[in-house]
Amino acid sequence: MRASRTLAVLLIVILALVLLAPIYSVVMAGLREEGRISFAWFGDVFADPLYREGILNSFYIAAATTLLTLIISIPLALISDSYDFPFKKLLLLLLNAPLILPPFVGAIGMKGMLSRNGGINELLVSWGWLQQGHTIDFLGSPFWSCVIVEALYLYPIAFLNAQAALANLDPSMIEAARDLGAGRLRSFFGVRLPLIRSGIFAGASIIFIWSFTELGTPLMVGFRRLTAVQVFDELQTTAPQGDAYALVVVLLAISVIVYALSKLVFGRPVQTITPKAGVAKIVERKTGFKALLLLIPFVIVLVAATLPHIGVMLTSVSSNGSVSLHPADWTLKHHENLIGVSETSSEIRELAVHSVENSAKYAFAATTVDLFLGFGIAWLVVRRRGRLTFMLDAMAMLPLAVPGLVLAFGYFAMTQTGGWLSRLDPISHDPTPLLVLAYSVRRLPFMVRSCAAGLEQLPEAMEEAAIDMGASWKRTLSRITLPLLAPSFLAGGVLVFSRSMLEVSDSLILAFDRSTYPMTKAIWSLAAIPSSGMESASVLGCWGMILLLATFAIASKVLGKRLGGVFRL
Amino acid sequence: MAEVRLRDVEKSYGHTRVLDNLSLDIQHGEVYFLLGPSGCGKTTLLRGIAGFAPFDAGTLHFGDRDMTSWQPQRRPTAMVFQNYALWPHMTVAANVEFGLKTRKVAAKERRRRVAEALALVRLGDLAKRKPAQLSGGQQQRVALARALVVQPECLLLDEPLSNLDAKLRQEMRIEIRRIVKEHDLTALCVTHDQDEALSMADRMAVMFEGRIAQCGDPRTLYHKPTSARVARFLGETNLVDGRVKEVAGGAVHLDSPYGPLLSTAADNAGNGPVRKISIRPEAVTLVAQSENDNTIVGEIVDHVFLGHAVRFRVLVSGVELLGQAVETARAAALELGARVQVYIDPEDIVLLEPGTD
Repeated sequence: MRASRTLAVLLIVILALVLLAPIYSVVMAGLREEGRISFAWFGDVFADPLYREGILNSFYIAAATTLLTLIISIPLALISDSYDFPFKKLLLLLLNAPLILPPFVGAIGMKGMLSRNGGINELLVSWGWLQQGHTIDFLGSPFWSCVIVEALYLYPIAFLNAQAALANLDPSMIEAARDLGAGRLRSFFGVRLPLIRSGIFAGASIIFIWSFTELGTPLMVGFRRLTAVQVFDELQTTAPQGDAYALVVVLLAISVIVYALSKLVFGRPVQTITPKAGVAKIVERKTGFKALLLLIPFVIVLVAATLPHIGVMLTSVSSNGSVSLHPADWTLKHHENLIGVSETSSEIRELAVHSVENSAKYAFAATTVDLFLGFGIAWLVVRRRGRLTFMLDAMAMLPLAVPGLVLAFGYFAMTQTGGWLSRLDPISHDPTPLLVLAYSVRRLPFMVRSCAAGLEQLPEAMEEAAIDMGASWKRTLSRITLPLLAPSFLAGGVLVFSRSMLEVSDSLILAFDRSTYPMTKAIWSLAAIPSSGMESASVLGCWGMILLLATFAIASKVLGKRLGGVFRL
Repeated sequence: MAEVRLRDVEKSYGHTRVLDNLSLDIQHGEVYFLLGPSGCGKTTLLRGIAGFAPFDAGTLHFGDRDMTSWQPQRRPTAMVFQNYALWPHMTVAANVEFGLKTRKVAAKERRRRVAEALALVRLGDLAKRKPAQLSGGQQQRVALARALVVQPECLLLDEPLSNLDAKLRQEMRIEIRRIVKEHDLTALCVTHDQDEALSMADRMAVMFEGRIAQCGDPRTLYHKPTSARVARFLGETNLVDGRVKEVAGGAVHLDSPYGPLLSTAADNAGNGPVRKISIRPEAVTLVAQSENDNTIVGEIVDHVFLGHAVRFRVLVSGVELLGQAVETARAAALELGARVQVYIDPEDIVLLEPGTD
């Protein structure tokens, strides 16, 4: 008991240091002007029309993206909850496809497909629906481009949350409503929606905060009047001034308010009484024409969601600057360039190859750190419930509410204040420790949730039985707890690793030297090369996708049916 | 092997006192039952003895060894968990073998004892199976074998039969008792099912709100409850107020709502003039003609066929009396509204302790 309390306190202190210290650094940097505390920087920020516009645009993008993800995902969740139809399992798995490609790479693919000389226009021309020279620029509005690209990346979060909330709903609640004469609509709005509201808001708040502070997508789309991009630009030019920090604090403040509102006001779960013997859910089986009708929304979403992936692949094999759907026009020369088969710039080659190595190294280290931290935290939270471990749980979940950009900027700020932390300064030193720290802190919630879910499934009596049989806690851990939790470790590990491999905001902000670039920053850097930059960037994006697909395939082989749980939050 | 002695143990969770100054003795070789409604603290007591929920105060002795502060893994107890807690990643044999490995028993000896334990619970041919491939009853027996194989000084069973169906439960009652007795073990079993406790226990204790209300052998508890709560918890009973009129030798003359009654079961009659009386329905029988004492005339207001017997309610001067008759032609002919005579054996009229509920 005492040992676990000490461990809990220790973990809380560690989390406080790695989470709260960077936030503190940013806030202090935003508040300090010539050694004094002042709100001058905030005054500057709100006085500047460009910054004001940036904040408003960020807010609009986040609101529109969140709304769009809900519009996409709730109907799909409702259909999959109530009906069974052919290919349902495959479709549900494919719905997760967006998660293997970060949206800023997806944006390149979208450009390849939807721009004036993109694949879709080529298709429409070849069908005779459009004339050459009168093609449509589907991406005319950078604002909506960002919203669509981000929503197509983020909808699985909303879908999985809605699906989980619906699955947890006791079907007899709905049956009772129907039994008392409520129609389909009334039982949906009167009973089902209020009961799944908290689940939906949990997903929606994560999506809002994510898109509110997203940096990669607007950078790629070329939408510069956003707070996240303005902060990043500040970092690129000179040593950031106080106004950059103040902007980050504004982002943080709005995120925290949104998160708190969604948790405290809209997201409060309804207190339910769980009956001992639940009623089995009746899922209607549909076949034939009706099944086809149910398939349509899934197919539409899937086509839209895989458009960026296809676009990235096609861009990486495009030959003359325009994406073509004809295999005859495809070329492997960009791939060859990056692997180094052909004789081109060794600089590009080194950047690409090194970035893959770097990302693998950072992601592997972060996964290892999270395995230890995540299991320790989850065990305490599940097995030693109390005020202390409740706090620990809340701390471990905090990275979900703190935007990656804020945390990354915070780590940067910490190293700029002098003292021993300046030895971690990513500008002049190896950024590995800082990147591993940032990756692992940001992905910690996934690992904690995965382990906690596993532990909750594992009755404590399993461990007690071993202790009762005379096993020491070490033996109990190694022979009972860890073997039984292996699937949770793998699921959590795969998620942490894959998310870290293609992590964006920390990578863009904390890697300064080309030799230390992770894949995402290399993609960003390649895309900026005037000739064939997009193609090279797409090649690297392709590799990333293939790598993650392979990871998921291996994990699914081991985990079997439980792979779906990998994505659940 | 030794007796288990608990002295003044206490346990609180937050502000809730779960065990309240409780003492208990379990003799060596005894099957002892803790019976009580859910939340009465019986499982906490069991887990306290196993060491999972150490007591806040009080002592626990096995023989003359003070176990109070021993770590659970060092205690010579073995528990059969309510949900069995079989490790799903190990075979049946590996589950049973685990405790022997932690005790560093040699491999050859381990194999012999595992085989022996599995034979004892009649699962010898399922040793290579995984727990998920077994039926509920088989899982229960694996859990039992896993606990028995380490030859515990005290076997702890937490509602061991609650997940089994009625028929299997009957079988396992006999089975567990047989094994415990054959191996001269001491067993402490927790349940909320009075039939289970009454049919299996050598001795038992009835617990309410963290305290032991009464302990003793099942017959005494059933026939001579000291409080209304114990009487009610162990089965149906008639509870009425009675006034002690006269005490003569072992016989007590009472005034009750049913009229004057004679009790020869009251050895505590001097404890107050007005007392609660408990009369089990089995003691209220239909009779053809009037006996001298304790014969009551009333009107049948309800009867229920139970198979082996008939339960009936007789209205006697406005108060209902629950009785039982063996299923015979006469009992079958019972009709609502019929006037009948019932007789209550003086041995079965119990005076409860005053001040209890």
